[in-house]
Amino acid sequence: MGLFRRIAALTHRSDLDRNIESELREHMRMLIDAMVAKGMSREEATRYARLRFGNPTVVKERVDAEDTARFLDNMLRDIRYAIRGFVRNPGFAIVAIITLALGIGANTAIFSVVNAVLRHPAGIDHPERVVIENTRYRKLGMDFPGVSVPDYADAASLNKLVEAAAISRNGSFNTQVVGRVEHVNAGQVSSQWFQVFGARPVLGRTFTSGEDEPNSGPVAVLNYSFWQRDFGGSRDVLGRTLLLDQKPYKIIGVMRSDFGWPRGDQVWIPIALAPKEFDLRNRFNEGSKAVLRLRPGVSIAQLNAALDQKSRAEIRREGSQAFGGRAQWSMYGSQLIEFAAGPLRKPLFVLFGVVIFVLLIASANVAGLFLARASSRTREFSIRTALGATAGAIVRQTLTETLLLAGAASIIGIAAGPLFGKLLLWLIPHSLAEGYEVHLDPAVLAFTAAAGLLTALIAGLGPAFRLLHRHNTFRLHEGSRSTTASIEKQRLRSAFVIGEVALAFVLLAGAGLFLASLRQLQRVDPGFNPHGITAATVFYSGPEFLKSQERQATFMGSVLGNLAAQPGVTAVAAIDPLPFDPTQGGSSSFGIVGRPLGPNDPGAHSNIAFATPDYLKVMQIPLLAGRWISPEDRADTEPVVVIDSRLAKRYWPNQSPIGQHLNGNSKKPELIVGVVATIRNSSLENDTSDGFRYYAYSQSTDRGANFLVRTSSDPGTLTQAMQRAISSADGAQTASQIQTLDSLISGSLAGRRLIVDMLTAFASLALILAIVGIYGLISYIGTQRTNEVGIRMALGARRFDVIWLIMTDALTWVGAGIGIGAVLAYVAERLLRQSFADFGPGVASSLIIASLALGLVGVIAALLPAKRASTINPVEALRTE
Amino acid sequence: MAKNDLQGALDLLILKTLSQLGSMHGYGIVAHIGAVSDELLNVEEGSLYPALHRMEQSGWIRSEWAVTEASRKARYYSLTVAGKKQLADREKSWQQVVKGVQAILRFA
Repeated sequence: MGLFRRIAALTHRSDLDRNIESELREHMRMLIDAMVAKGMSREEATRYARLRFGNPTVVKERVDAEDTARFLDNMLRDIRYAIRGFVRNPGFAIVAIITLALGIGANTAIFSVVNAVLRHPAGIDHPERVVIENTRYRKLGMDFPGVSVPDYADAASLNKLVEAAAISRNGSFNTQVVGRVEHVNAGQVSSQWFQVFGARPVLGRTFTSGEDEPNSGPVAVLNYSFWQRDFGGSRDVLGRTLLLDQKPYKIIGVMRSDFGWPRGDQVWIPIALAPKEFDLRNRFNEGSKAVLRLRPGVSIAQLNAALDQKSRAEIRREGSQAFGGRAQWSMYGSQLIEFAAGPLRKPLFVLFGVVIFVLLIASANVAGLFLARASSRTREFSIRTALGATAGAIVRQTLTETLLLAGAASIIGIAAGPLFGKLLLWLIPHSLAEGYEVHLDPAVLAFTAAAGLLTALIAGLGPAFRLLHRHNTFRLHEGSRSTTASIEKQRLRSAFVIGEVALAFVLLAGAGLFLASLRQLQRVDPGFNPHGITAATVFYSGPEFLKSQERQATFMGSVLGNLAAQPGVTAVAAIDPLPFDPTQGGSSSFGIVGRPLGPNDPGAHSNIAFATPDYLKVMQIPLLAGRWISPEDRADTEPVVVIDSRLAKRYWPNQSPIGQHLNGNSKKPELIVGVVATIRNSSLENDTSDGFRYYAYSQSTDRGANFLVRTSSDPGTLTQAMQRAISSADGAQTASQIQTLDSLISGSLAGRRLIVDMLTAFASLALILAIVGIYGLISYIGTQRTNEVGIRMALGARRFDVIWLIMTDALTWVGAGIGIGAVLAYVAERLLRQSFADFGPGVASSLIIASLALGLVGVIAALLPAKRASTINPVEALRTE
Repeated sequence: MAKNDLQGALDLLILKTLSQLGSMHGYGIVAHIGAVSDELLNVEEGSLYPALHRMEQSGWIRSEWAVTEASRKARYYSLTVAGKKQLADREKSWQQVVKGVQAILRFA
C-alpha cells in the first residue's frame, strides 16, 4: 500500500524525522565507539565522525527527497503505462476522449454563457453589488423596475449603504451623419452612472458631479461601437461636437467596448434634472430607472429594509387615504444581473441542468468502456497483483488513465466550448443577447477542470473498485481461454447502461414537452392578425416638433398618405406603443367621471395607446360596440377614448360604458365612444395586459409613432419605401427601426425556442451515446458468451433462439432505463410546470414517443452484436474451451 | 527495465550485504562493505540512508528497531521476498555490466 503509506508519511512527517534523526545519532555513536576501540581519543573520534558524516540535516533532506522522487517516478510510470495502453488500443482512447469531450464541451459552452449572462456580465465591476430600484403597487398587482425622481432621491440618500447611485432616462435623438439623418439612442444619466457600474472610459473621462445639473455645458460620452462606426475610431474625437437634435454636445470620453448599459444606447449624456423634478408630487410618476452600487458587505436585504422605511415614511406623510397608501405602494431593490438577464434566465437554468445530464451520460459511457476493458484486463491485473502490485497501485493506475482521458477531453472542451457559447449567444435574438460577451475567464476554466475531474472520478472509480474487489481473490484463471461463466460481473456495467437510457429518456421526453409547449404557444391568438404587417418606429426629433400637436398631425397625415400610395399596401395606421416590442409600453391611472373613490380604492389603471382611424383595419381587431376613432375626432372636437373589452368588463360589468366619461389623458373629460376586443400586448406566454385605453393621435401630442403597413406582397420589401415615406414627409425625422410584427411575436418566444432547439440537440447527443453504450455492452457480452452459445447451438438451439437470448438482456436494461426515465421525466414535468406557461400538454405523447425511440434504438444497437454472436460455429467455439 | 548502470551499484551492495548478514543496521552495513572489500569501497552515510529509505518504500527491505550487542537501540534492515528477487536481477545485470566493461578494456 505504497500510496497510503506515503499519505500517512505526509501526516506523520515529524514522526519520521525523529526516527531518522535517532537512527543517524546511533550510527554516529557506533562509529565513534569503533574509532575509540582502534585507539583514537574520544574527542578525536567525535571530530572524525562529524567530518565524515557531514551535516545530519542534509542527510535527512536527502532521505526526504527520495519520497518526492519516488512519487513523481510512480506518477510518470503510471502516465507512461497508460499512454502505452492507449497507443496499443487507440480506438478505445479515441472513443472515450470524443465521448468525454462532447460532455465536457457541452458543459463548458453552456457554462460560458451562464457565466457571461447570470454571473458576470462583461464590463461591470463586482456585478453582485449593483442593484436596480423597483416600484411595487401591491393593490394594483404592479411590480416593475422603474422609479420616479423622488424614489431615486430616497435611495441615493442612503449613503451609509449605497456607494453610488444614478438615474437614467431613455433619450432618443436624431443626428446628421454625412448629410443623412440618423437615429441615436442616448442614455440620459446622472453623473455617478459609470461609478455605479465601475465602468472606465478608454479615452477621455466620464461625467463629473455638477455636469448633470441644468445649464451646465452639454457633454457626451460615446459608446465604443458608435465611436468606431461614426467616428472611425479616431483618437482626436475628444473635444469634437456631436449634434443631437441640432443641439451641440462636446465629446469628453469614449467608453470601453465591453460596457453597454442601458443596452442599445450609443451615447450617454447628462440627465440635467431640474429641481422641480425632485418635487414629491412627482412621486408616482415612474419614468426613470435607478441603479445603485452597494457598499462592500452591504446586503440587498439591508438596503430593502431601509427602502421600506422610506416607503412607509412617505405613506405617513401623504396620509393613508392618499394614493400611495391605498395602492400599497413601496420601493425595493433587486440584483441588476437578474433584471438584465430577463427572459434568458429560465432557459439558461434549464439548459444548464440538461448539459449536466449529458455529462453524466458521457461519464457513464466511458465508465462502461473502462469496465469492458477491465474485464479483458483481468489477467493483466492478476499478474501484476501476483508480482506485488498493491491495490492502491492498481486504483491509481485506473484513475491515472481516466484522468488522462478526461484531461485530453477537457482541453478539447476548453478550446471548443466557449466558441460554441459564442455561437449560442449569436443564435439568441439580438434583443436578448445584446451586451453580453462570452469570455474564457478563470471561472470557466475552473468549471471545465471540475467537470473533467468529476467525469474522471465517475468513469474511473466504478471500474477501480471493481478491480479492488476482485483483487482480494486470486483469479489468474479468469480471463484465460477457458471461460464459460461470469455474465454476472457485468452487473455494474448494466447499471451504467440503465442509467444512461434513463437520462437519455428524460432529455428526449423533455424535448418533446418543450416542443409541445412551443406549438401550444404559437397557436395562442394574440387578438390581431400580425401576418403581412410591417412597422416603422419613429422617435420625434426636435423640441419644437415634440411640443406642437399641429406639426405632429401634419407629419403623420403626410407619412400615412405616402405609405398608402405604395403598391400592394392595403391599409396604413399609426400606433404607440407597438404591441410585442419589448422596448415600448405605457400605462397610467385614470378616473371615471361620477364614480367617487371608496376608501382603500387605489383607483382605475390601464395600459394606454395612441392610434389613428385605420388601426383596427390594419390589425384586424374586431370592434365590439360603438365606434372607433374617426377622422372627425380633431384637436378642436370633444376628446374621445375607446376602451377594450377587458376594461369594459372590469368597470362596467352590467352596463354599456359608451357615453361615460374618463379623466385620464387630456384636461377635459374624455367620452367613451366604443369598445374593441382585447389583445395580447407583449407575450404569448402570459396575458400581461391591464386593459387598454386608446386615444386619438389627432387629439394629443406624443413622443413618437409606429407606422403600420398591411401589404398583400412580401412585407420584407417595404423597408426602403417606408424610410423614404418618412424622410420625405419631414427631413428631420427618421425611422429608428423597421420590423415585421411576425418577427416581433416570434422574438417574444425566443427563450422557449432556444430551449427546444438546444434540448433537441442534446437529446440527440444523448441518444447517440446511449446507442454506443448498449452496443458496446451487448458486443462484449456476445463474445463473453461465445462458449455458452456454442454449447446451446450444439444442443440444437436455432439462430433465432440465440439472438433472442442475447437480446433479452438488452431489452431488460432498456426497459428498466425507460421505466426509471419515465418516473424522472414525470417529476421534472411537475417541477417545470411551475415556471413555464403552457407547459404540460403532450405529456403522454412525449413519453410514448421517447419510449418508442429508445426502444427502437435499443433493439438496433443490440441486434447487430447479437446477430454476430449467433453466427459462430459451435465446433470452433467449443474447441477453444 | 533492468538498471543496467553503475548507479545501481550501491543498491546491489546493500541488498547483497543484507542477504549475507540476514539483518543489520546502517553502521553495520557500512562496516561490512568496508571490511569485505579491504576498505576499497567506502559507502558514505549521506548516500546510504536515502538508498535504505527508497528501498524500504519500494518494498525490497523492511526495518525494525532492536537493541544491539552493545545495548544501543538501532534500526535493523532485512530483505523481503521482492528484495531477494530484486537482488537476483541486479546481480545478473551487474555481471553483464562487468563483462561489457571488461570487453571494452581488453579491446586492442
